[in-house]
Amino acid sequence: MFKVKMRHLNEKEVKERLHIRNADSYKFVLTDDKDLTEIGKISIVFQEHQLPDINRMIDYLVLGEEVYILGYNERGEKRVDARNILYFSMDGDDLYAYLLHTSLIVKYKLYELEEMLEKKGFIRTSKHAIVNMTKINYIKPAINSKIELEMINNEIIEVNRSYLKSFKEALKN
Amino acid sequence: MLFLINNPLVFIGLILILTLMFLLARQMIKEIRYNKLLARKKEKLRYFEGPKGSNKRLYMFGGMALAPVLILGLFLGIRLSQNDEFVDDRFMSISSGQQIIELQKDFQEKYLSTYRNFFFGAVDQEMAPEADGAGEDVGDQGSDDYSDTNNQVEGVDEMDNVVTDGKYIYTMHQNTVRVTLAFTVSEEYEALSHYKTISLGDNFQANGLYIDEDYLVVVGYTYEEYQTYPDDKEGVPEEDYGYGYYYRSSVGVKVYDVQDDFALESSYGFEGSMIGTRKIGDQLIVITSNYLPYTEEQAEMDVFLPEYNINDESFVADYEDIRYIEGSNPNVFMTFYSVNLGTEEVDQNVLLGDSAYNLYVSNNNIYLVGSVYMFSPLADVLNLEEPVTETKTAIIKLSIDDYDLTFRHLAHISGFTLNQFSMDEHNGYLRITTTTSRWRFDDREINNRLYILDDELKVVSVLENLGKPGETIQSTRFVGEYAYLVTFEQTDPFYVINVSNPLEPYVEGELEIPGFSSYLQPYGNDFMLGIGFGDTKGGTQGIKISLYDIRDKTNPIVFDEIIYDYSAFGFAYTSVTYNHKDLLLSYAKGLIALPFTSYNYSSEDGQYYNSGIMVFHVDEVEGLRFDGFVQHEVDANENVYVYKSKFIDQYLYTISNQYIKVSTIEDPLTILNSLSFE
Repeated sequence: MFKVKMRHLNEKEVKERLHIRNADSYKFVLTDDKDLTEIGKISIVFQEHQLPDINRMIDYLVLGEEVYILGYNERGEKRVDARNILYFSMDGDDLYAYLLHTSLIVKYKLYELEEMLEKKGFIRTSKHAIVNMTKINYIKPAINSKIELEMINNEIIEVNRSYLKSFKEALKN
Repeated sequence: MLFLINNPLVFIGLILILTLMFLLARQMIKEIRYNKLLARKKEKLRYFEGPKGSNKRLYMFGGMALAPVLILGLFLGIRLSQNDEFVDDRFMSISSGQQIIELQKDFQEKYLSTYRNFFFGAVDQEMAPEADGAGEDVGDQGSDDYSDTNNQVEGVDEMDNVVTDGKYIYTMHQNTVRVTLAFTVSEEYEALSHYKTISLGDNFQANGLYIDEDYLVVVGYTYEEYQTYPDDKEGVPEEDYGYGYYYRSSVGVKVYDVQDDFALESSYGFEGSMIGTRKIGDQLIVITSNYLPYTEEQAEMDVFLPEYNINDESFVADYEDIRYIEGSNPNVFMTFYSVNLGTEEVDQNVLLGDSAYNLYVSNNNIYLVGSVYMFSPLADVLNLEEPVTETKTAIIKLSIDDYDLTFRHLAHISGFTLNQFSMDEHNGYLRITTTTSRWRFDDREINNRLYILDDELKVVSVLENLGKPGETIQSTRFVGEYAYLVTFEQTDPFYVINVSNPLEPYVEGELEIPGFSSYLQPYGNDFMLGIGFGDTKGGTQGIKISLYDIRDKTNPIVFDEIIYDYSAFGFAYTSVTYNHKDLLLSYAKGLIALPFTSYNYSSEDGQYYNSGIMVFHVDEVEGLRFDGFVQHEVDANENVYVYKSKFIDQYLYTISNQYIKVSTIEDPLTILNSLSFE
């Protein structure tokens, strides 16, 4: 998506601070020298002190607008940033959104959420669950060609065989 | 590769471990790839917390991958340490006959063939000649200058078939001991006459004698017959029972009072076959073996518990007193007895194990060596065709503390020992030579070693690969700080090994000559007498007597040698090549005498042979001088076998199964007096 071209600043350091890599097919050129801009690409020229702003901009460009999910528990209704949700899982007829320390019942259908959060790094792992890939701590492939996901709260979520292919795809893209 | 073929267990283990490692590695690669993708994905999603558990997880994986390597290492380590020498002070305790039965079963499972130990034949055997007589008492003294038995260790007496105390000569004939008056101060050789025939009783076969100023000790065998029955007697006629008579022999010891005109003082019986005996002062050591049946019944096992009797009062060993050597075939009870001839007390010590064959006794310790089998691990589970990885020599050490024997230590070393002269104790160290010889496909692997073991039988040093390729040890003799060793295949290297530093023995000198010595006997401090085989053409078709000059340890030389070619004498032999006690030697008198027998054939008389004593004079300047061949009958058709010579004072007594003849050492061929047993 991006290409970083630096003249005065250290290119490697900038990439690290912006958490980006150069891509083969890129739309944006990020540079500190206006002579390095490219025709046909959106070029952004900035100075070192502007890096935090650039960072926020990239966040927006990549992830789009924040999505808030409405849910409730015994303490009442809550609106949470979807990025804080570890996973959604069906329990009986209710759909729960699990956060690090709490869970909420949400009034969505699983397929609605799947569609809504696809771009936000959520992926279906079974008939009953959608997982936030950023909240996976570690992936353990099991010998029986299943995959176990160790979430940041140490819970284990299995990726069912029928969802394995799409999971792998999502991981790669 | 060879190692793997010979150790299928290791091979299988290796394959399993490699497979496991491969699977683990695949899993690990997969996992790493997944988590790399996850990290990239998070990066793309602008989420910047790296996976937390990954390092821990990788360490675990590394550990898991290394574990089989460690296990393999450990496995090989154990095997290697098995091949090393190890010492075990613990002689395993036995609690019941049932436990012995279990041990036997266990051993049989490991070792399925019917192989039994072949090495139980080499016991102290003395040959008894034939005939009989009677005599009168002569109240006269004998001489103080007479020949003792040619013992290996000074102070440790070995039994012999002929002994003398300077006055009488004692010989054995079946179940009698003949006491011949040989020499008195007043009459000298003219005193030669029958004095007494001691009858040992029925079923007693004399086997060897000890004499000192108090006791005449006769060691022999007593026999009893037993009949074995078929397992299922029903329907089997009694006359068909007799398919298996066997003898259960026991060792008999009769002690006669020399001061009381050979009155019987005490008699002992030790059940089993004789492995060996020694006498130190008035302590008699007797070692016996009782072969065990393979049985399911403890009651049957009970019968084989070593039993002894003192003047017909019986004592049986308890299972609790028996010790077992782990790894050995539990097919025999070896019993070590110490008899106090004065108080008539017996100390009994029983060991369960494989039969041992070479006995060495120093003034303070008993060393008995035998074979043990080193099994491949899990041999019984895997049912291997070659379960035994190596046959080793087990050394059992017992201490002699006054009249008590105590099992002290056990060691396993590679190879087998040749005879009692392969061992020697010096300043608390046991020096021992062994030969390893095994066939690996077409190659014969031979390794001649000199081990030095400390007081606890821990190996302190080993000198390996002695001799040239293909050669095996033919004889060893330890004299103080030096070991003399003969190896042979085509030529005879005679090695002088410096063992003054037990930690670092080294070959100091070497001499290569044709033929080989099978017995080495020190002659004074400067010479070593070698008796063995060699001919004038450089082969081994003859008897060879060599005198090595060992004054210069770095350069031993042949000082003199005498060769009797079979081509000139007919086939000839001397028993000294296998029985050192037949050698008569006196450094003070410059005397060497040994039995010699040659076979000839004539068309008129058929086969006849000449048996006699070869007498040599040794001069430290002139070398060996042949003084004559003393025969009792020339070209005898009958068995007149001259098997021993002794000296008393200046006289040489030669003993055959029919005569005792006397001449002077100076002029051995002139017979002064002769006594016939007929």
